[in-house]
Amino acid sequence: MDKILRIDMGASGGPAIRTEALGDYAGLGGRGMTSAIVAKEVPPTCHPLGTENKLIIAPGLLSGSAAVQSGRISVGCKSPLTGGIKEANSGGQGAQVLARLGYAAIVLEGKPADDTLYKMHITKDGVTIEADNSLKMLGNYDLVDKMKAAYGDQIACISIGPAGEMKMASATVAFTDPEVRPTRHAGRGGVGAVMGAKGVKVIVLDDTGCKMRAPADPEKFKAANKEFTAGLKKHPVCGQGLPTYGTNVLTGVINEAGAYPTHNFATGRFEGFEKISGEALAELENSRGGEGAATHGCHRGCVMKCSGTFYDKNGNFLTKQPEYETVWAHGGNCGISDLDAIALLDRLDDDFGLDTIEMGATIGVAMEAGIAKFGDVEAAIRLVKEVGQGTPLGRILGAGAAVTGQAFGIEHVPVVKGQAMPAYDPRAVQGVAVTYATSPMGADHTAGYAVTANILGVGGTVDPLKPEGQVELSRNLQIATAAIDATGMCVFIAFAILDQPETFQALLDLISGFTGKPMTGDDVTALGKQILTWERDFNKAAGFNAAHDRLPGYFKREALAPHNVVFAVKDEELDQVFNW
Amino acid sequence: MVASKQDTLTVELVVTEADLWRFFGLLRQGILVTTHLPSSLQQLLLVALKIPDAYVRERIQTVFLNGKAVDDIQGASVSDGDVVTLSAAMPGLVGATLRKGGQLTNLRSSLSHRSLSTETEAVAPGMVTVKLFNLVCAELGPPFLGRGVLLPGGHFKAFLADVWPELAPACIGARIGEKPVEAAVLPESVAPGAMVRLKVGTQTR
Ligand code: SF4
Repeated sequence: MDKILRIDMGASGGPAIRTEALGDYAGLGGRGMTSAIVAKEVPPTCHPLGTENKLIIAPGLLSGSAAVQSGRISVGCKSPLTGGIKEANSGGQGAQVLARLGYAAIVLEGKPADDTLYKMHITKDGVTIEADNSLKMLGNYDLVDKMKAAYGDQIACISIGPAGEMKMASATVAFTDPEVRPTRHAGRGGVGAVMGAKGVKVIVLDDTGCKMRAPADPEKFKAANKEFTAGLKKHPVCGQGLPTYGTNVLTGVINEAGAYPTHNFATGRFEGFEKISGEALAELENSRGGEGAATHGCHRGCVMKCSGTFYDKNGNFLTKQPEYETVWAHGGNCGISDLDAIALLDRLDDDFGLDTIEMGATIGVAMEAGIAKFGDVEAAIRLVKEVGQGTPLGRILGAGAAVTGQAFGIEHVPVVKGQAMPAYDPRAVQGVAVTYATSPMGADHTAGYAVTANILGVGGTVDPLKPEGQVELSRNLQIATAAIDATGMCVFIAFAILDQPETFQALLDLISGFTGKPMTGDDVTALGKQILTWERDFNKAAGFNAAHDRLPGYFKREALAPHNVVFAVKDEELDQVFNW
Repeated sequence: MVASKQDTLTVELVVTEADLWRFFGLLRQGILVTTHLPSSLQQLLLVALKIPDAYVRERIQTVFLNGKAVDDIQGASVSDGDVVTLSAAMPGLVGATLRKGGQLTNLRSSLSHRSLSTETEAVAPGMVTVKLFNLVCAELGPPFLGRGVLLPGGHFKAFLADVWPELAPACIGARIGEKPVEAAVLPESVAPGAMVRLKVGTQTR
């Protein structure tokens, strides 16, 4: 990972490829790399679909090595959904393969003069890019099949579906999984639309003949990797709960807590939750059987395996195990309690290249607007198909929840900075609400997964009795998440490193064994703060201010059943989140 | 709220071990437990439900009482008609905030259950609903079903409508009360209003 691949898609005479040394970006990976490049090279006030924006695809610092869980990849740009900086994170094979090919980042720059669509092929021998308009409006599944037929089975693809080509603000960038299926997505913020604006349909990676990245201190690295793996395996969430049920295990408890946004955030409990719970999903998958049924890793090297494989009633592959957020977005949020229907919606989203959270939230808003009834499975499927086909209604829905709310005159639009909230009602879990409000990414839940704040010791200890505790904790979580996103580690490692200090130490040893440089908790904190500072500064220059770090007013005004709570953290407190 | 013997139908089933999970949905919806109330939540778990102490301490990491997370199971008081939910440790910030005695309990102050009643309530027989989720359901489900659980008849009726057509052919034995019955006739033998004491044993075919 000692070079950056830049392709100027707007060069006269066709795309121009150049490879550069890392320069100022040495030592950065994942979100650290994407946010550094966006902050330094993208004019904050540019149009996200214009020639000045850049799309950066960067594997994590440890990706491509033998470190477990290290195969996450970041996609960054100025977001067409939020208008601010964006890092969207994905699993799949892309990180491992790109890192082994030696690239710390691919940067797509400029913009073709016409609507020609391009495909790229990257091997150890070099990079080719060629026009291929036969790929136009192909779904991700057909596209990947075509690439396999052309380049063989040993590839990993990074691609967009029709939504990306239509430059929809909820379009994703898809990454293929170990079975070369386009099931993993950098979902949030419309990164797929930016790839579409660059005219790139697919990047085919083939690391045949490449070696695994070697650590600087092999002995230390190997020992730390062993200790770290053991720590993950013995932890009740990482080693048991997630592999058995996946993230959807949360449905039951979040519903019980009255924090499960139902019918477009109208209430905190969904009557049909049991039918779509993680337990019911795992039981269904196990009873249908098949390879990787309820337990499957999104990339090789994952030992926690929170994912699974969803086969239909006839035993045919339909999609990967839908995640908690997807089951919520297309399920409870829209009043739907049918797992086969939710899996089909997930498959359609993946094929069209759409963010499942944004789509589910958007359909929820459309249902509130009377476009369809809550619980109407057929209507939900039809609406997603309209998005994929680009009908006039589909274009509005594909632009996301905020635009759909505007188009239909709806106040209840659960977004921050234009991005839809995920599967936790902010009134019921106020600490999550602080992160929704203040994250530079817009309403984002992933910071909530990195519960490492107390271990990292950033910001001192939290007083459980003061409201300020929530602000302080959100700050620490955002710092920790930004740092983890830079390593290429799956953010779910956070549960084990929170509970087990020896596992956190093993992670630090793993990183320093790989880089050959000492690594402490303070270094991790400094990295997280640096990334957030770049992101906040970019957003400020793009026109964001304190007024954008707020939840929609109705969350303060309208109480959520069953616990009748409103969002109560004061604006002045929200303004302290980045005051370190 | 206490069930009398007369309006409780006893159903005993024998299935293969591989089919036992099909009953877990009933446990997630909630079993009914009759005991003397109010009682401490700890008492309910250890005595009325006979869950081993170590299991309560180590495995049951997320506990709700009427939808509010509980930190102190010894101090929380359970009354007639309450709903108790038992779960293993949950992922994510929200999972961590809901864990009993977790480091992040401040994030859910509005959701915490603080039922440390100092008033003296008369102790009397009563009934609580207990829901078993995720690993707790998978692990406690088999012994609970083996010794019998009390269910609302409506839940059991809906279960039979949903699951029985597929499960009945695989059912090794069925009894209502003392009387052996054909598995196929079970749905029509259960009235929706009655409570059901369901016992499910396993056997290899
Ligand atoms: S734990 Fe889940 S999200 Fe994380 S790397 Fe493994 S399969 Fe992917």
